[in-house]
Amino acid sequence: MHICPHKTAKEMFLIAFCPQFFYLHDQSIVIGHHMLLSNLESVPGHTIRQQIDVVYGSTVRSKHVGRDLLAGLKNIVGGELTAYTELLEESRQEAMNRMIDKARSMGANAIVGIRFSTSNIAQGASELFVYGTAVIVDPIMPKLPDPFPAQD
Amino acid sequence: MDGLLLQLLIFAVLFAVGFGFGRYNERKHFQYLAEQEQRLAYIQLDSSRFKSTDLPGQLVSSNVVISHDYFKYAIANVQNLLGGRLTSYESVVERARREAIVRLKLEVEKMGATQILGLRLSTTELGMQGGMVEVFAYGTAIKK
Repeated sequence: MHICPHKTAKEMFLIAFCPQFFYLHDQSIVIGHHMLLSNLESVPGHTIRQQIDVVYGSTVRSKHVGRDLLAGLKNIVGGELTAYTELLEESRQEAMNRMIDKARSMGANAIVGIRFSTSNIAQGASELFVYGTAVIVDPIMPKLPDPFPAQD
Repeated sequence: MDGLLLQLLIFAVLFAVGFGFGRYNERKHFQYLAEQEQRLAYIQLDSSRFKSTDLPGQLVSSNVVISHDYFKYAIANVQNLLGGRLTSYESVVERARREAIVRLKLEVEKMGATQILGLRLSTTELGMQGGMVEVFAYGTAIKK
């Protein structure tokens, strides 16, 4: 999951001049710069000014038949199921985007204490659930060097 | 009679293929994991709840889905009858967990961070008959 990937010059251009385009194609790129995410009690390097509410996002996904069939074959030889790995990653990103949208609509600029949970609710379908606390944070100002150091 | 023979044949072929490929894949995977773990050992992991720093950080996550092979499936069925440790599945879960952590560290390395705070691991069982296991790892990467 790339929340804040390294961007190329072309991507920077696209974000600057047609953010809508980018938002549609890869929400994570735009979101990464607006919402601070952390699974700790606070965002590192920031202090919490105001706590807003708990926000959550969830999605239920299942694989299509082709993927399931391939996975069945892979079950014989063992090893990683890349299709499933990607599917779950995408779904989790979607759940997170929903959570982030909710937090943004409440006026938060960060979500702390993020937790993920996954459950199999039906045969071949899984629910991905993510929740956290939406807060407003301020960056900790780095201490400026004392312009008049005490002379000794 | 013919049907039974065919079934036995299919089972034998799957068993052999599972044994061969599964063993090979597993050995290769463990080797890869050992290499990567040694290379990425400089990234500190921490799973304590309340630790925090003044340095900037952000959420990172990684996941991996690993399935058993047919050999493991057959052996586990036998072990299941007898009870006790299912050694063949233990290695699958271990591989998935280590792989998830290695991937998390690779992501952190890309960002140039050197520490992961609040590491959490969650394991989910997938698939119709089980045997597929997903490990999801997440934490907060701290940039020094």
